Amino acid sequence: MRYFLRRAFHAVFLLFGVSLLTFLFSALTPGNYFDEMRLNPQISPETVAALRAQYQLDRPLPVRYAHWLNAVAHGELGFSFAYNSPVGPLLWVRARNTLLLTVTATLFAWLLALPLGVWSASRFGRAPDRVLSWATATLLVIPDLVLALGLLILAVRTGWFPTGGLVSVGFETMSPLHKIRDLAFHMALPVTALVLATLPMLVRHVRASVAEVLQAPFLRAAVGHGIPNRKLLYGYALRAAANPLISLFGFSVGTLLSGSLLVEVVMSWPGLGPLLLEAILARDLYLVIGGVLLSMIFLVAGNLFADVLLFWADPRIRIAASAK
Amino acid sequence: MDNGREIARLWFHGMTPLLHVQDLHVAYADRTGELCPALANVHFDLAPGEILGVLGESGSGKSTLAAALLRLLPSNGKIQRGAVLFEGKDLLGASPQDLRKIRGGRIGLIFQEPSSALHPTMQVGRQVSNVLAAHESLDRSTLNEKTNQLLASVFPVDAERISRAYPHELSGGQRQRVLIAQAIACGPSLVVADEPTASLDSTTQQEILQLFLTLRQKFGLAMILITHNPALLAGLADRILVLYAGRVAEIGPTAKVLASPQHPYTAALLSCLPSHFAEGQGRRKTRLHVIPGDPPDLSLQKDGCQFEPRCAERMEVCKSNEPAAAAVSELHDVACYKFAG
Amino acid sequence: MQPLLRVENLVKHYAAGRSARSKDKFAALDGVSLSIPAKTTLALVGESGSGKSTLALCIACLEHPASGSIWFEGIDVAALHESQQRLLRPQIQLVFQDPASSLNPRWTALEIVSEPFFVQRRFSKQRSDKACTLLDHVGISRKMANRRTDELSGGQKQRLAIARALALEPKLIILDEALSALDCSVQAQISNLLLELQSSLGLTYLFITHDFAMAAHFADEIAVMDHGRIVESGPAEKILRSPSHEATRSLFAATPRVPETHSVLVNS
Repeated sequence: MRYFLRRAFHAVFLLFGVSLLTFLFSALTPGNYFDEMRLNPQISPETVAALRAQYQLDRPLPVRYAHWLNAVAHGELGFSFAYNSPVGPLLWVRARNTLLLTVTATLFAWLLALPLGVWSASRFGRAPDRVLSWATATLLVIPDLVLALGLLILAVRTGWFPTGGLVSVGFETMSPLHKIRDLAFHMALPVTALVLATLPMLVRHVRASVAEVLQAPFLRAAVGHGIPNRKLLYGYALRAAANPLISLFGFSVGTLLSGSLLVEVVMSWPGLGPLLLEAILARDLYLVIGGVLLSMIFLVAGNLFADVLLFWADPRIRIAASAK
Repeated sequence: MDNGREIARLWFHGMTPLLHVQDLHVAYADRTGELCPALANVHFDLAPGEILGVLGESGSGKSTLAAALLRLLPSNGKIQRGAVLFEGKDLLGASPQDLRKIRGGRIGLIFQEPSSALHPTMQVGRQVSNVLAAHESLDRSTLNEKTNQLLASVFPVDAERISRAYPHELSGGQRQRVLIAQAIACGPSLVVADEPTASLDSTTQQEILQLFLTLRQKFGLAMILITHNPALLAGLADRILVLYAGRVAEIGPTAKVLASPQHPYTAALLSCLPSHFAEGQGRRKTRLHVIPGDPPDLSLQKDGCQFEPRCAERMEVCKSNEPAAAAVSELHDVACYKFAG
Repeated sequence: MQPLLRVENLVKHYAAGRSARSKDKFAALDGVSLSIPAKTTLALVGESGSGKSTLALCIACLEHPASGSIWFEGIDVAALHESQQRLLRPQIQLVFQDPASSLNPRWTALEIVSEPFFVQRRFSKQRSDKACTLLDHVGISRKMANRRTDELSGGQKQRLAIARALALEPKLIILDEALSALDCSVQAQISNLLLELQSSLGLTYLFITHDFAMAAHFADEIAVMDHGRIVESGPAEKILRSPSHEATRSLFAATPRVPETHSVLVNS
């Protein structure tokens, strides 16, 4: 128990640090939202100054930070200049869309990677393993951008899949079944892109960890006891190889919000990625900070989750942790 | 303890051996693919309920023998020729399914190094039940009951608590007992134990060896006990098989082999031991007798007797030809030209 | 004539139970006292868990005792400052049971033996010569000197470990189950080597083992340890002929032995 409290405490500390750094960096980057406005001759300098005062951009940095912290403590993440609305609701909607995509993709990727990796490790060095290694290496080398574009081209050429967006026009009027079908079709390509991007690395990790365990004496001993093959691979080998994979899974969870930016932008998926991109370009300070903070929360939560899983899965870690 | 005579009686009545190994040759392929012999011309029989001690030092091929019997050699190991018949069945030609049923089911295996032969993140009780479940289709409650009985038979106290423990929470001796429980789980007729007491201290060693004797008494279990320490076999084995450089140097009743070893290697090995210490007054802190020369390098593939370079009694013929096994007395065979015809 | 090593009332606790904060501490060493005269061998016999290895680590200044004193050549080692202890370390060396884990498998034999010279910054000019001499001393041929450790046999690795221990010309060598993992014929060879080195270099040995037979052969004095205490000690013959303590007798009984062989080759 103490173990988790300590970890949780570290996590909060980390979040503070990140928010401070983000605030600092954004505030220190040249330009702010209102610079664009100033260039516009139709808006008078007084208006600009007034707007700046309204958004408190003329106050010194520490004061701004303190205000922002205070606001966060009350559950408000600030105000977006570009959208002229509070940051919170903007983020939640987009984050939900992103999660829809990434959770599905992560689930698929892991559910495919585990059997593929285990199968490959059990045929280590032989033809099927070599073919799979070659395939994963190729996929790894292809940049995510190219994958996404490739799928887009497929969509355009064949017309089987929509080329962007969350839902089709007229979504509200569809029956529940049609709604799901429509959503699924829209999700298909981005999810495929994400899976193709993350699967190769996962498969290689699973394969490597399991292959190493297959050499271990306890596995030979289990073979000597006549344990059937399937149980050997999943009940013994994968179980023993779980540690690095659990950490990797924590990382997967951690990047649920941040890992899909490129795919979302290219495939016009209305998620957190495009929102953040626009916000950065427009110097929309509080939106940027809010978005980064949200991603960081996920990352930290993901790591904490991995720690919890490791603690539960490996009795040796339980002993080591409580001995500290 | 005169099981030796009992065994002799069984042989003379023409009983079918439990295990019959004939002309076994095993080799390992090194990185370049060249075959390096690890075992050659290995013959022996094992009667039901007999304890055979396999005595050999590092490089003698003793672990290879254990692995080869159940075809558990690593991927670069090859059984080149020979026959292994267990309860009349040919093990070397058995199908993978039959082999799986025999491993753990009819032949139990106790590997070296208890610390690494157990799964690190699985409770030991579970590891024992898995062996049961692999060979018998039992429902959950019967499985648990049987597991508890098994653990109780090797752990006289505290079996419950140990069942829920993980390997790293147990001592070396306790882990060894778990391995024994796994090996006898399905009531096999033969248990092969490779250095079962290597990392244990004297008292625990005695307890484990005593456990083996009890198991033999209760279940009529035959055993092949592999070790490099001749002292362990003294009160335990019926016969001893001495391995040197992958060949059988000598095989015979324990008392005879230890008291009057006929093969020069066996004699030399036994003379290396610090002499019986209860009397050892004048002999203390003197040089122990050593076997001259270096342990054999099997990759060199030498002709003739493998022990010849280090043998005090070598003859011309030993350099060129390998001696065949010759009987020196009832049930006592030696592969040495001293006794050849 | 003061003993080379004298230990008085050494106490060392380790935390028992799952958590470091638990109140259960168990005494690995519960008031241990012994003394070793120079150029002799004391065998410390006991089961695993009796505290032998802990004692070895304390004497070698690798662990700090909770209380008690360790006198080496009349100096109270336990009371010394860290930096002063470091000066003393070359005098007390350790050889462990498992050479595979105490020697770096990727280094050559020569590198391993030279390492102490580098660490203690000695013999800068003649390091290579000294290293070769050491290897000769322990019976490792020149050909083997350039092999990597993982290519050596168990006996050769142990010889290498001994050579490394000799590098800094120690007075006391602690052998913690150094022979236990070796084959019988190799044990005989290494045992002979150690006896030779003792007489030629005037070494003192603390020979830790659970094998009473080897202890009986090797030692001038035997001390029996049980549950963190020395329960019996004295000259080897006396202990062997008439063991008085329960623990000694049970260890005695537990040691497997081979009946005397009638072979011609016995100790010829």
